[in-house]
Amino acid sequence: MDGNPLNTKLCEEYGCEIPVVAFAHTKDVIAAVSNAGGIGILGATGLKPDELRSDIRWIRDKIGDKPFGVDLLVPASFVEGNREDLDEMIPDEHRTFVQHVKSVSGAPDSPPPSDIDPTYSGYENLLERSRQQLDILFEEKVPIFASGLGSPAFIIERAHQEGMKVWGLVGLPRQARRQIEAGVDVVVAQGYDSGGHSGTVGTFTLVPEIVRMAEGTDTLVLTAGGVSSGKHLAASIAMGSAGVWTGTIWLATHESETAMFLKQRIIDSKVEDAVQSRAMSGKPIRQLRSRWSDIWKEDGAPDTLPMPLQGMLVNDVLRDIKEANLEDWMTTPAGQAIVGIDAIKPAAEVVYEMADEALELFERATENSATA
Amino acid sequence: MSEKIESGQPKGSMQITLDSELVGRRVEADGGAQVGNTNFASRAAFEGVLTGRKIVQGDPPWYWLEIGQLSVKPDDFKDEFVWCEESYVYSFD
Repeated sequence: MDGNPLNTKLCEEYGCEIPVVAFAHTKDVIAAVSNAGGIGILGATGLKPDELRSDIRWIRDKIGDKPFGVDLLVPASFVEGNREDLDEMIPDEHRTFVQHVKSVSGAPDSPPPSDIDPTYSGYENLLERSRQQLDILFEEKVPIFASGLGSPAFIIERAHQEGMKVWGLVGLPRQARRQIEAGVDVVVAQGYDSGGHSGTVGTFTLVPEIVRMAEGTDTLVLTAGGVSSGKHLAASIAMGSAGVWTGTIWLATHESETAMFLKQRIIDSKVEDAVQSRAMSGKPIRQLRSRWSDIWKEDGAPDTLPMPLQGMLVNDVLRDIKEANLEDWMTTPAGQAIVGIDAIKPAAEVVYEMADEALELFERATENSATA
Repeated sequence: MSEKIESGQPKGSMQITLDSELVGRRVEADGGAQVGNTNFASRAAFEGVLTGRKIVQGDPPWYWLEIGQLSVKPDDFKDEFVWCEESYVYSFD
């Protein structure tokens, strides 16, 4: 450190100016954050190979040699099995309830999707598809690969040979230990308050434990989950993190492709509105509260079904709702960091505000220490 | 380690082998996967016994271990077996 507490090892090793990492599905956010001195990480799991390659090239064209990365949901487990008979396992009670939901929402039937990719099914294809996506990262020489779920241990050696850095998101200390032992470059310690597939341990419990594990190694630690301000950035650095990994705060930026009504709902939300709901897939996903998540909690609503049955049950009506743009019924994954979002801003402004606030806090702490 | 390729395998770049040294080991594991065709994922915890079946996929090799006799699994998990990536499988022995 050179006296600037924000000039962490992340900045030294990656060439960024502010140790703020932005995870987003919108490439414009990634470019804006990297150009503002942070590091943008594109959430690319849902992209087809040609889309992934195109987005990587677009980002590189906008940011030059500034750091950026791609996050993929590499699987950690799967089930081998035949799913052809699953449709018969959906109870009539659930089908009736979904018809009720469709009626209440007023969503008209929408045309069937035309772009279903058959390669998305089957466990052999699941692993092959992850490989294909990783190959694109190698071919395009993406500086950072972030594994959003499973361990990236199997790919570290090759990635390092190609000059890439490998990051892994973890929700438990034992996962971090395995990744540190494998030689991952950055462990992102993701606490319970995060959006989407959050872990079970709180951020302030998880981060110091993993920082302690990484001591004496070359692995850096980033704080994730509930991070929305310079206060969080300063606290993270004080805990020994090299910076913060953020996701929710970019949803309401100018550059984000999140629908405007969802941006406004985020701004108007309380922390309790980042709810965990199984109603979309059968798995708990932290998301912005909506009429969809509410109706599955009402008296008379059946329990959600296990994955993949819940998804099979509700996919059509969710598509109808989206096609009809029924705003009250639509949502987005979001973490408890929504409480820190009060306006729609350019992404660069969010980066600068976090840095300024963190620096001010460090200066104040120094003054308090000097006068104590 | 004693491995053999099961008849009828491999599938593409994937081989399913049987490692007799793994059979019967009690383990816990951190699993999870992408949810359908969405950008969401789920995390899942398992405890059980290794069957000895092992998948080796691609190059560099990606190792997967099959766990059965599941004593800990998500409430909504209906299957009897799960494949978990080797890095996140922790042996009790």
